[in-house]
Amino acid sequence: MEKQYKAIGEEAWKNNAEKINAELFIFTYGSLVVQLVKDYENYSAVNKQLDKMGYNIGVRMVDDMMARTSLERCTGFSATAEVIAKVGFKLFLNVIPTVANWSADAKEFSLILDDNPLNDFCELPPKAVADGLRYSNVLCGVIRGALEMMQMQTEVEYVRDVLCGDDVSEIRVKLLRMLDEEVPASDD
Amino acid sequence: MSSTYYFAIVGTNDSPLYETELGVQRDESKYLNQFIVHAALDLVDDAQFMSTACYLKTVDRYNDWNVSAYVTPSNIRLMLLHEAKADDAIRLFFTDCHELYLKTLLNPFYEPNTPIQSQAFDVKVNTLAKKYLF
Amino acid sequence: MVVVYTIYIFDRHCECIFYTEWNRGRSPLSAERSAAAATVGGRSDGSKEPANTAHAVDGTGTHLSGDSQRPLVWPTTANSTANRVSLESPRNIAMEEEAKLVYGVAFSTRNIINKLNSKDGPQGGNPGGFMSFATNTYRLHYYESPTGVKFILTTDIAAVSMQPVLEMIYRNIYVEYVVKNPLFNVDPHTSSPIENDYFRAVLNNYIREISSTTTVA
Repeated sequence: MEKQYKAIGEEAWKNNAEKINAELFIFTYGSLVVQLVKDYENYSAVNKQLDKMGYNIGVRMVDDMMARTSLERCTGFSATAEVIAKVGFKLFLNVIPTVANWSADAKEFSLILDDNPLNDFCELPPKAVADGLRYSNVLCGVIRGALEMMQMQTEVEYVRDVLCGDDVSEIRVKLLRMLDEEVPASDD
Repeated sequence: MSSTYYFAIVGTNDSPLYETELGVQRDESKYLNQFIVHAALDLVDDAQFMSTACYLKTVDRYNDWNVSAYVTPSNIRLMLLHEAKADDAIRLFFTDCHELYLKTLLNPFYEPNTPIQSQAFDVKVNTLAKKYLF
Repeated sequence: MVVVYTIYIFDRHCECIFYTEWNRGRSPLSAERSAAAATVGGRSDGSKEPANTAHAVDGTGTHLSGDSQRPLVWPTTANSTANRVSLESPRNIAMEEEAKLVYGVAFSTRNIINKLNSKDGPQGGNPGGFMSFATNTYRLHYYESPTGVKFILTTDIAAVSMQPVLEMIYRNIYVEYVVKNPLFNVDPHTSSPIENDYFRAVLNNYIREISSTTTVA
């Protein structure tokens, strides 16, 4: 099953993804974050904005991913985790994070990012590290937005970040609840 | 052979972006170093129009000191104070430092023409110095 | 040869965010248009219900004749660029009612099919595989995207499977022109109608294309 997702991700990345210049993308993201830092002058507010932006990206991206691949709705949260790592990250960033650290109730897992293109070239000023800026926090928002479109309400956050001096980057995804499909409002 | 070097990066408006003493530290020379390099900037301005290369070799002398310079296309000046002559080694050192500076420039948090405060940059300059100058 | 009558798109909040009709005899929408046309043309004979919208408008007003070849779309708001049926009131109560009923029928049918289907599938969605039902005058086709957007197409009864068509509309038209349009609001908490001219034009062309080929049926 895991192999199959990997193949789907590879295939979609190879055939259906348009490629852009990585530096252009990285610089764009970098200047966006720096502008937010300047405008908000508060790192936790910047984290929040990045998450919001990611959320808006995620709710669109998930449709795009589904349209480009032959994936169906996942049968369980562990399959979801695999799809995020092997198809989602592969298709949009060409990296495959490791899914690890499942909680006992199988409702929480971590994505370990060995390589994150967004982080390239970036070195945080000491103050940003001290105040907890999560440079790539946009990714958390993307995951949260995408999962919400798939009827999963989640909490996603960075728990470790190489830019803040940790040895790896780790994104924690926690499933809060499955959202019910809405039913039509009844007529009076 | 123990020798002392003083390395400085000078921004477009003649303000220092980065400076370090390499090798044996000599307290009394601190301000003198800045003074010599600053005085040499005018000569760099003259020399850069005599050559198309970035590396301008030795542009000035002061007592035992030689002043070598390297001008990037964006008019950032890398200056090195040294006693012994070693053109090739210094050229390589400058070229690698230039590359290091470019990498710093790619960091979205670094604003061009402001002092470089990164620890990593400092460490890397020292490594390069060990590699080429000592 | 497929004859496509209508398409409805419902979002995750059970709201109809897009409707358009092609070869439909009478509908709340065409009725409104001919009423509007009658007013514009200075006539009041709204009693004569036209069999075909295009003809009726050709007969009445010069005003709307340019629009008459374009399919009717709904919902439209005041700043929509779609061919507006009436300037002041974009609301069409009869049409709203109809959309609600269509949704209700499709939704309940899908649910009962899911319930009868013993296989354990993922929660929600369409694991029972409801594809279409037919009456003796038309066939209703149903497709649900993984994100819960529902596409409903009505055609003549000869068209057996329109699944590939609906999937194509989702993958290559809806996602490309609606989801990827940064001005379209995909907020999962509120709905907004599709008012995108490109989407409308591409969809219209595609439906025309399948209407003129025999291979799909």
